[in-house]
Amino acid sequence: MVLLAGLLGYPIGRLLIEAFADGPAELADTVFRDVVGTAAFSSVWTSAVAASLALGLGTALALLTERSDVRGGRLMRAGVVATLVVPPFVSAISWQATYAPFGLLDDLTGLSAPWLEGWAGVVVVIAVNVAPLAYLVVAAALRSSRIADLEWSARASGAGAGLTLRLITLPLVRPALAAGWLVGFAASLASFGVPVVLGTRAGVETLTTRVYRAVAFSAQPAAFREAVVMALLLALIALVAVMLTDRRYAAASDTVLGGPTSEGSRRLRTPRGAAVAAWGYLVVTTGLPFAGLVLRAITRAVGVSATPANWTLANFRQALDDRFWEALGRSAVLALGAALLAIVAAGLFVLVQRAAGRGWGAATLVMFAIPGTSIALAVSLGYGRWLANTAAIILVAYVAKLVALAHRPLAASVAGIHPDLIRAGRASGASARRVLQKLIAPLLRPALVAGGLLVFVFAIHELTMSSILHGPGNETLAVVVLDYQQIGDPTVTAALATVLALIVGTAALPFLWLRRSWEGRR
Amino acid sequence: MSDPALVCSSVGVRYGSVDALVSVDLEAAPGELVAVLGPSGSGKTSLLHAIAGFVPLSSGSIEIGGHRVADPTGSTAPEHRDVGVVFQHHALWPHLTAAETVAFPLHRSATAADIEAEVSELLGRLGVEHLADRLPVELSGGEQQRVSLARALARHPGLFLFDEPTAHLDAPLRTGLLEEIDRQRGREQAAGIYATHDAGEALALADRVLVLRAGRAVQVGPPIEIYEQPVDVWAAELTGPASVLDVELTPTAPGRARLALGPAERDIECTGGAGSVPLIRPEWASLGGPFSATVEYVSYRGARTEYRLMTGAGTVVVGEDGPPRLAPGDDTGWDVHRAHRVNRR
Repeated sequence: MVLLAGLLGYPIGRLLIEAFADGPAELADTVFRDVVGTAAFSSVWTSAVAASLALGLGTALALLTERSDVRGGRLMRAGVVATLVVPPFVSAISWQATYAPFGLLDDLTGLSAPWLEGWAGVVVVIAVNVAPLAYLVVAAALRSSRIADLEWSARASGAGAGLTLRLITLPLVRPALAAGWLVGFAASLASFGVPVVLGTRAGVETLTTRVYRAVAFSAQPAAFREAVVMALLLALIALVAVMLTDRRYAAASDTVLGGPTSEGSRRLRTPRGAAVAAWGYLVVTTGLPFAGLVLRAITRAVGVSATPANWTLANFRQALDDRFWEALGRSAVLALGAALLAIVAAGLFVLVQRAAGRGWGAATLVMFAIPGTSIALAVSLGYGRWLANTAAIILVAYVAKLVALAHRPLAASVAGIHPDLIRAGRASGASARRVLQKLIAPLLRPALVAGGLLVFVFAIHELTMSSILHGPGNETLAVVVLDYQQIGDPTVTAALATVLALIVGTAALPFLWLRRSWEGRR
Repeated sequence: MSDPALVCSSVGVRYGSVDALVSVDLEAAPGELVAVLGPSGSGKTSLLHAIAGFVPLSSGSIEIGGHRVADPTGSTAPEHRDVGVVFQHHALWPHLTAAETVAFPLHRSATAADIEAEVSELLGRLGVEHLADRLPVELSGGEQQRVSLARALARHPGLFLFDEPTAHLDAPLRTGLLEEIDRQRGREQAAGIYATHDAGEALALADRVLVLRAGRAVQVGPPIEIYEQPVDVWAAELTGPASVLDVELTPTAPGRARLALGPAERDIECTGGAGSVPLIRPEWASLGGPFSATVEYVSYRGARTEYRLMTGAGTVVVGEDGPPRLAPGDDTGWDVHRAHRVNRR
């Protein structure tokens, strides 16, 4: 409980106190002031549009991988899920390098998307980044064996595949669709990397970028007050979305979506063109942008054709300076520290959960749902006077935000240990201590490692919170990349983003492998 | 060997405000197998958990091999009780191979070579020696249960506890495993408590049967007594089909009574005393005889056929060897040579 108060209660409390410091009237005035109101409005509508786009994309992909006999369905699933680990701002930089004027596409075909830097680009890139989340929610619902049975009984009652989809499948997964939309909405709302990369030059402002600018570049108390109010608004909207998801989805999963999931052999013929479209989608959203990023990183300058004649490693030489290596070291230490602390905190949450009820486990999810921007501002208000401009304050924010990633697998793993396994140990003559050492610990190890790795992967490319919390000479890796991007040095930015993507990819590899061996065991 | 292997005296177990067991008495002599028979939720698992030490007692006491191991004031830890447990879902540790699983209970004071020899001896006894290096996921259900049985045997306990060990196995596997359990336990000269909801298993395997209903022991006795002289209709139906006729029996001599149905009457063998109406097992009745009835339903069971007859005093199920020789709607005579007196429902 102390942990929860320290990580969440106290900082958010400070945030509230700060917001109400001048009385409710002043607060109301700030909320309806133009800057705040405009930023809040644009945040909400971009998130709504992005969430809808993401839901459409996610649902289409889910239907394809879960209901059709599309070739390489497993690979497709892995590809969609893998895009989750791509840092959103790296994704935005890649799109910029590929589809914006002077990008790869321009170079190859003379076509480009000038709208990419602006509202449209922000919405599209956020949607593409969030689509895997919506996909996961909808695919999980479709994989429920009960829905498969209900679909077959519709077919047996004479309905065709299309009619079954319309009358049975979609209504049954409607709670999942709603949940997928809300999850996408919350994630879009919290998105900072995409709007800051694609929106800055076009004057696109959302709540997250507004807070960042107010804190990072302004010394005015009024601007800071605004930032506090905006951070609260962000947290509030996100929490409402998450609570709605939780209520709707939990109720639905108990009634309709329960039952073991089946890797069903029941497959329908893939509609013509759908597979091509899906693979095309993956290529356009992930493959091409990465190629564009790498090509820009190794090309002498923007606007020069990316042919071997113009290739160079100069960008990397320039990018990998002392500042980079320092930031890399700092990010690695921070990520490692966050992973270890998150594992310890997750363990404590599991213990408290066992003693005091399930509600405590949900606390980590709430922390995960609060946008990084809000957490960063709250932590800075809460601990700034002791820890300002140190790496420690970033660490606190990382643990608060990411503990859920360690807690979820651990809690699931603990719940998966049948009490009989422990009883069998005791009945075999083992003391409680030996049972813990020999039986429980080995069974939890994969979950602990997986959770820690996940925290590490997310922490090492974390941008939103570190951009607000870092002090001079205290930048994390992502902040260094963002600096180059904001200064407007596209080739060095691309080189750095490539390196960062490779680091994240390398860090994520053991996770994918572990996940496979873990699933194989069950 | 004078101490009983197990003595449960008025054992009570509560979960919160729910009574899982109420004042259950149970004794098992060394070498004796007692089946605990009851539907799911009757308290079988609670009783085994109380004996093994997984749940505390709210009342009563338990002695294992002459040692007091549990009463409401205290409880010996499970690892210090002389028991071996075979669990319903095998409860094999997913990260240990068969050999590691069986080695787990063996004393760590023994040398590695001794443990290895003992493990392969145990696995060999159950015919799964070739599976020593497999993880549970690589074993079939029957193989898993054999490894789990070997694990329980490894402690050479004075008392085995079986919690529906065959519930998740197919019928042919079941029979094999039941024989194995019987043989291995017999070899160890150990007592056993065998929880099951399957009356066939209980009757075939046990020296005595304890019938549990809603946490209370309703009857204890040898299998034949449990089948032929059930305490009530509920207990009777737990062990097989039984019909109760809505007609009073008139005692004529010790162990005999007169059954009158319409114009016909019969002097029959009769057991029991508490109630006044006759409970009839299908094999105690036959087709053809003084009483009249109409065939309501016929069910062919392979070796035998059961006919449900409508009589003036309710339905009665009559069993006969061979294929059906009557059809629903036929009128027939029937006879009965034996009944057990019970209370009306």
